[in-house]
Amino acid sequence: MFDLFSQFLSGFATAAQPANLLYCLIGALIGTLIGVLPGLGPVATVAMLLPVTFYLEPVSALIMLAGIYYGASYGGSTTAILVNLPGENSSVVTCLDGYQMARQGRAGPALAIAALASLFAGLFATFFIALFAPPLAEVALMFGPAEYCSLMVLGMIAAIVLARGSILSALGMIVLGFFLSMIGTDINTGQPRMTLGIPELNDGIGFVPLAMGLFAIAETLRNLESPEYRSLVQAKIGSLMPSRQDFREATPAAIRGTILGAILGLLPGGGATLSAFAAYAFEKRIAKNPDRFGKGAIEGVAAPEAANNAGAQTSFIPLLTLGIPSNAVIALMAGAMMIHGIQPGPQVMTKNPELFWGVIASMLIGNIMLVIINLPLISVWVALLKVPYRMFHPVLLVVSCIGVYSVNNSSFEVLLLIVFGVLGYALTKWRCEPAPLLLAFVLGPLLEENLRRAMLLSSGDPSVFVTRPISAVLLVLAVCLLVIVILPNVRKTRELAFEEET
Amino acid sequence: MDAKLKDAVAETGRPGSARHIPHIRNWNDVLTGATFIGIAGWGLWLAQNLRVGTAVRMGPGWLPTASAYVLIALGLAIMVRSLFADEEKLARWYPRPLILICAAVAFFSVALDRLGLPITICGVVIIAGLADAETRWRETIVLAIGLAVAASLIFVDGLGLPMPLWPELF
Repeated sequence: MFDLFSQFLSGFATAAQPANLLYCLIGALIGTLIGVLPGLGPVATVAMLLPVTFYLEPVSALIMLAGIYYGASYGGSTTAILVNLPGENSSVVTCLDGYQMARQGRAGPALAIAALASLFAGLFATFFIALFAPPLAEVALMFGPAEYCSLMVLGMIAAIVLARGSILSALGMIVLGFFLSMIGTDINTGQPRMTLGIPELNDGIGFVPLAMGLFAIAETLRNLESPEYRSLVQAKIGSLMPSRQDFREATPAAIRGTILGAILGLLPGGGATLSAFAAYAFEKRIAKNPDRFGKGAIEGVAAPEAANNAGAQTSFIPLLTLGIPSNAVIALMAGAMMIHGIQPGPQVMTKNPELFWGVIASMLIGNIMLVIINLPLISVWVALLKVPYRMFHPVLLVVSCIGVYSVNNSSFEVLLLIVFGVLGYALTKWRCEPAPLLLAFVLGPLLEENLRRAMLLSSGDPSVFVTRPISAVLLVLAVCLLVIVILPNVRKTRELAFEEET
Repeated sequence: MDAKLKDAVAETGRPGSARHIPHIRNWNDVLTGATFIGIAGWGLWLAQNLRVGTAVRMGPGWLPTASAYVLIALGLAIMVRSLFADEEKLARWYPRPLILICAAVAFFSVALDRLGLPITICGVVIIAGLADAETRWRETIVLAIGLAVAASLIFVDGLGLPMPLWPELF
């Protein structure tokens, strides 16, 4: 326990270095900004900023990217409450009661409760990570190649369960991502594979053009389809101070939301959005008077806002302990770590303790910064909503192009951006979510290496995966998950849940 | 077909039912399946000269070949499913942003080494502006110039990215 505390303190020392404080602030600011702006999400933003992280220390890079992720959920609530437009997917449910509160002239208290609930959740989640990540990492250190393979299979299956759209399509996206990750030089023989004779492909398809194309470019294309939905901010924000009754109603809701969010964030495929939906549904179910929901119930703001922030943060645990990214944003961060030569996984804690504890401590600092950025500056963020999308997308496009080019000074990679932009656009049109593809692409090389090693060690006997106990348990879990989603009534609920979301 | 009848067909129109008439109900699935099969087929063709090896000592071609076959199987399954699934309309595509945004990126890729960063950015912004029906040209031109200056200062002067600033004179 004391050991933990001292490591946490050393993390603070890292996070409190002036440069890291600055990147934490930049991350929080960018996160709030994209959270406020509809049509620009954390996945696209983190994808666009990946090239920038080349120029930073790995700790600073991760601190900044993490700030964007949890910052987005703060910013998203502002737009949700004031304009009834979710700035972020994770804030969709906040619209329901938050906007009603704003219409009743209580926008100020709604915003304040959203920020305070997020702060509470953020602080709690930070301690949650500090407590639970180290023991998990110790378990993961006992893993051999067979266990790693099974774990990755489990991670990918979980990504299917929680992806929108059909299960077959999601499976296809995983295999496609895995397949794409194999383009380039073979690790064991040094032979180029499927490179079309293009020298730029010898190192494989770049992570940056793939991610940016699938998310940033495809998202721009979708946003340009329809005229922008603009609703002006008329609601006066008024006094921010919530009443005593607000506090009395919101506090237990925020605590429940935090705990639920922290647990759901751990699930592969979980994170901010899932947590917020679950927390809202839970509040409505346990409420004495469920009719109040949708008419400006403060619990309907406090619980999902707490949950989305807690979920965003605890979804770092699978990455930092098992090396398995649980959603698209975290997969991008795994990519950022690999760019710096750090393999995400249990060894991060022992090999790069300053990185692990620095990032965790920065979450504490970042959450406090976010409340300070958000509450007094709310009018500034609202003013930003008046800048139309037609001014944004050319800027995003230029930044994306420069970013991709700067990775290897390669015009070829800029062209790859088009390929993956069109692929991402097409596949989302056909209801295939690109997140599982990205996940499989990140895990692909690791899975291939471990699979080949496991087969070599077992002299070609595939039964190692079921005879080694940990591996067997993981595979059984994966099969159970798959069976559960295929069961007809679970399938119906899942479809319903995603329908509500869109 | 009225809605009630349609529901009835959707309910009973399963394989084995007498009223089932096989036809493609979901073109989105067909296209997804075709894309998967196309990419995997191409990959198989590219990987044909790679040594496959054995399960103990996998060659470089083992996993690409295996996953291509799995992808083809999934693609086929998705296409077959489109015969039985619920009716779904083909998603609408919007060619204008698609073509013009791709053109803007392609322009960047081709022009940067020849025209230098500022001119390239102006081109990208203008092509991207064409993609958006709501573009107001005066705004866009100001944006193009502002962005060209800002990006040159930040990325080339500030961060020192090796990008040419001026056109290469032949």
